[in-house]
This record gives sequence, C-alpha cells and structure tokens, in this order.
Amino acid sequence: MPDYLANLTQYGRNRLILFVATSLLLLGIGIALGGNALLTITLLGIAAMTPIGLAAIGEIINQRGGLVNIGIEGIIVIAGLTSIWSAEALGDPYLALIVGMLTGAALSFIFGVIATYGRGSQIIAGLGMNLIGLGVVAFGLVQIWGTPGFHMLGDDSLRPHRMFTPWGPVSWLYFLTFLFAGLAWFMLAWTRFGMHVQASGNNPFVTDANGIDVYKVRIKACVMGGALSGLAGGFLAVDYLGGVTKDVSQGRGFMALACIVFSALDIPLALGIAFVFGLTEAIALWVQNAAWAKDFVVAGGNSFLLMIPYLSVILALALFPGFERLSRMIGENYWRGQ
Amino acid sequence: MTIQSSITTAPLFEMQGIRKTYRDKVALNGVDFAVGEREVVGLIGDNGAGKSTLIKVLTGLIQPDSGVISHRGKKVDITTPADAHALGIEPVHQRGATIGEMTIWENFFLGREVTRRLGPVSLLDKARMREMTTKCTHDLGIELPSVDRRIETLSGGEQQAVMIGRAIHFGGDLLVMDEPTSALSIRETDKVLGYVQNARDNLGKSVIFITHIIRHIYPIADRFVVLWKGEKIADIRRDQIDRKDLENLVINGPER
Repeated sequence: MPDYLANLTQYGRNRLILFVATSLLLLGIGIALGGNALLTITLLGIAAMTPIGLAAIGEIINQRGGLVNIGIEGIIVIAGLTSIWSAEALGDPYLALIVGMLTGAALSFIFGVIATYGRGSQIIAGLGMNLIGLGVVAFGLVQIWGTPGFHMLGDDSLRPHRMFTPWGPVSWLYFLTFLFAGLAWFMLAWTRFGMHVQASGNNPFVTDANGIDVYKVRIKACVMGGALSGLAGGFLAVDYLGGVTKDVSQGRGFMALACIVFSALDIPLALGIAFVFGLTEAIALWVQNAAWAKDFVVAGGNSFLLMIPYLSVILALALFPGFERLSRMIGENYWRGQ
Repeated sequence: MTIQSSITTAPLFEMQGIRKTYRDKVALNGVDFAVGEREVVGLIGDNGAGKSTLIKVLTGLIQPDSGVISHRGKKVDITTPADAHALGIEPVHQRGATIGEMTIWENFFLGREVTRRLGPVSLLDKARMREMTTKCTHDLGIELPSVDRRIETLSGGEQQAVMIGRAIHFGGDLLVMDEPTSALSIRETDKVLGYVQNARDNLGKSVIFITHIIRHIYPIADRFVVLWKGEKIADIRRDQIDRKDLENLVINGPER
C-alpha cells in the first residue's frame, strides 16, 4: 500500500471509501440511464440530502459537546409547522426559514437546560420531544387552518426562489447545507469555542477542572445544533414540500441520527452518507415515474420503492457500524463532584 | 517529640499554625509548613494524617479555621484556586487529569488556548501551541514523536510529564503533586522522579511531593515533613535521617 494510503486516519479511509463508492454509483447510473437522467437523479438526491444533512450537521455539533438529542425528528416537524405559519403570517419565505431556525434553537435550549442544570435523562427528554412534535403539529394544523392532516401553501411566491434547469429545480438552500457544513467544521476545528465543545463532550470532568463552564458550552452547542435542525424543518416545509403535513419529516430526523452514528461525528462523512440516502430517495422517486416501471408500481411496488431509503439506512448501519472510538461520556449527564 | 530543622533554601511559601476541623474531628492541629526556593519537599504520612487537607489549604480548595500563609515573606490570602494560581502554585493532579481522546497539545493548552486574530474572527494558533508543547516537554526531558497524537497513546508517566510541563509553562513556581507515582509502574515512577529532579535542578522550580510511599520520594527530596494525626512530627533534611528511620516514623508515629 502506498504511504499516503497507509497514513490515512480511519476517518480519512472511510471518507475515501464513501467517495469512491458514491462516484461508482453515480457512474453506474450515468452509464445505464444516460447523462440527463444522471443529472436529474443527482439533483433530486441533493434536494433529499439537504434536510438530512442540515439536521445531521447540527446534531454533530451537539453531540461533540456531549449531549445526545434523539428528539431532532420532533424539532424538525415543529419547525416545519412554525415556518409555514410564519410564511403566511409574514409573507416572506426567508423570514419563515429564520422562524424555523429560531423554533429549533428554542426547543433545543429547553432540551439543553433539562440535560444539564435539570439533570434529566437525555433519552427521555429526546423521546418527549418527538412525541410532542407529533402532537403539536396535529393540534396546530386543526387550530390554525382547521384542516387535519396537512396544509399547503397557496401561493408559490411564499416559497424560496428556485432556479429552473432542464433537469429540475435548484433551490439555493442546497448550497446552504455545504456552507453550514464548512462553518461547523471550521468552528469545531479552529475556534476556542469549538475546542471547548469537543473537550466538554470527551471529558466534562477535566474540562470543568480547567475552568471551562461545561453546562454553558453544552447548551450553546445544543442550541446551534437545534437551529440547524429547525432550518431542516423549515426547508422541508417551505421549500421542498411547499406545505406542512402531520409527518412532514417522515423519519428524516432519525435518518440524520443514522448518518451521525455511521460517521462517528465526522461532518464530511455525515454529509456523504446523507447524500447517499438522498440518492436512494431520488432513485425511488425516479423509478416511480419511469414508464418501464409502470406495471410494477401499480401492482404494489410503490410501497416497496418508498421503503428503499430506509432500507439503505439499515444496510449502511449494519455494514459500517460506528468505527471510531468515541468518548463514553458523550450522552452521559455531568455534574461536578460526581 | 518533634524533629525540627530549618529549610535548606530561602522560603518560597510558609504556612504557620494552620488549623482545620471538620465538625468535631481535628484534621490539622496548628501545623507549620514551609517550602523553599528550588527545593523538593516530601510531604509524607499515612492515610488520614492530614497531608491532603494541608495541600487543599495551600491550593485554595478549602479555608483553614486559623493560620497564616506567606509568599516570599509577605502575608497572602488564598481563598480560591485562582488565587493560588496567581501566586504560582500549580497543582498537578494524579490520574484522570487528561482527556485521552484529544491530542497532546490540546490537553496542554485546554482552557488557556493561544489564539490569533484573522480579520473579525480569532482562530486557534495551532502552530504556536504545537511548537510550545514540543519545547516545554523537551525542556523537561521527554521526547515525543508528535504532539498531534492522542494523549492516551502516551504512558501514564509521560502523561504526568506533560502535565508537569504544562504547570511549569503556565507560570508555576511551585508544583504540588498529590500521589503522582502511586498508580505507576516502577519504570514509570523513575521517569516521573526524573522529571521532578529536572524541574528543580534545571528549571529552578520548587516541588511539594505528597506520598505515602517513602522509597519513591527518598532519593530525590531535599527535606521531609511528616504528618501524624493532624500534627507535624518531623521536619528534617535528608542527610539527617536514613530511609528506615523515616519509614518507622511514618508507620509508628512519634516516640513517646
């Protein structure tokens, strides 16, 4: 093996494997279906990646700080509701996205306080967040619009601007995912706060002994992560779907958690696997609409196609379990003198 | 009977008449203690003798009921760990004082990071922190292949050494080491003792070395202070006592 391969860290090796595998997958699609289909599927894949990727990046910041919030699914659906509501109330899709982010930040702040000063169980609090999410959205739909189930934006001007290409629409929010991934990586790797986040997650005892306020660091990281989950919800509702349904997220919060486990808290890896999940969703969508698959879809294959993204999650987790040894203290509550 | 002798160099820190009681238990009963410049003092005694309490007073973790502390002849108040730090007192904790998953230089600078401004943002000055970590550990006599490795890849003694280097780097005149060798192998213990000697001989630091293992501290200490049930029963230079007598004193207490 050449030196530059032997010297790679496990993260580096897995990034390389994922990159090569994804490229081969895309190449295969390109050869089998032609360039236009490849571009269409890739765009669909990036669209489907966006919410998963945003939530995953947010939760990586949070988990690096030592809290584990399994409630991001709940945050996504609640942020979806508030962003659709504010899009109509404020008449501006960008303000609506900001409201979505603020919703996520506020919910995460509550979670963060419970998991630090409140000394509450993070699993229970996260679970609660998911259950509240289901309830709040169902209740909100009936209360605000009087429609159980779903509410669609009537006016397309309430959705963020999209570029139309021959291969499908391109939302500029796609680029936001990469921007936030870069910013999050930069913050964790190159700022004092980022170093304190990592220290708080790896060992809150030593971090505290070095004069760093672990609770404050954890809550800040949690709020940042929640804001990105909120943005994911806002994107899904205002941009991707153009409306809110009782289950606008369809498990994307959990898929983001799967990305995180797979990536062992590495942002490029999480983004890569989020793209692969998005791609499977895109392939499923593409097959649904393909002429040659019509008989199969009508005969009940539709449900099977919708299952593909989730099957790919299970497959990914089974084949590549968390590989890097992370601190056991992540997800454990901390209090001084314990 | 108290074996008394003057310290070997000019006093750096002096504690006089330190008394501390917990409810009705007397932890320290008017103890005098001093450490000189460039001096290694072995603070010894059996468990419960009051060693830790005395050191907690000096490092600002607890307040004595009465007693005076002076620094280079001047009376000082030490009420918090920050006060102690400002006076150059650096506790070097025993095990579990490092974050294994983080690199050596990150552990070295955690909480005291060096940054540089780049436009509106301030960034970690990693190059400088790496360089300073390498230099400090080198000065102390340990050679690390790379300060970018996780600190858990070092042995216990080497981690201890990095923490000693850190304490010295951040302005410590006096290193307070609580049982630094009790969890180490024989070879590792030798290394740590070497670093302590080096800190005194080449870097001019003073060290309080707390232990109940006399064979570890005997070869390198200038002086021993023996505590027994909250009282000082001996304060003696190494050339005035041999190891067996010192061990007897620690085990059997004062002759009556």
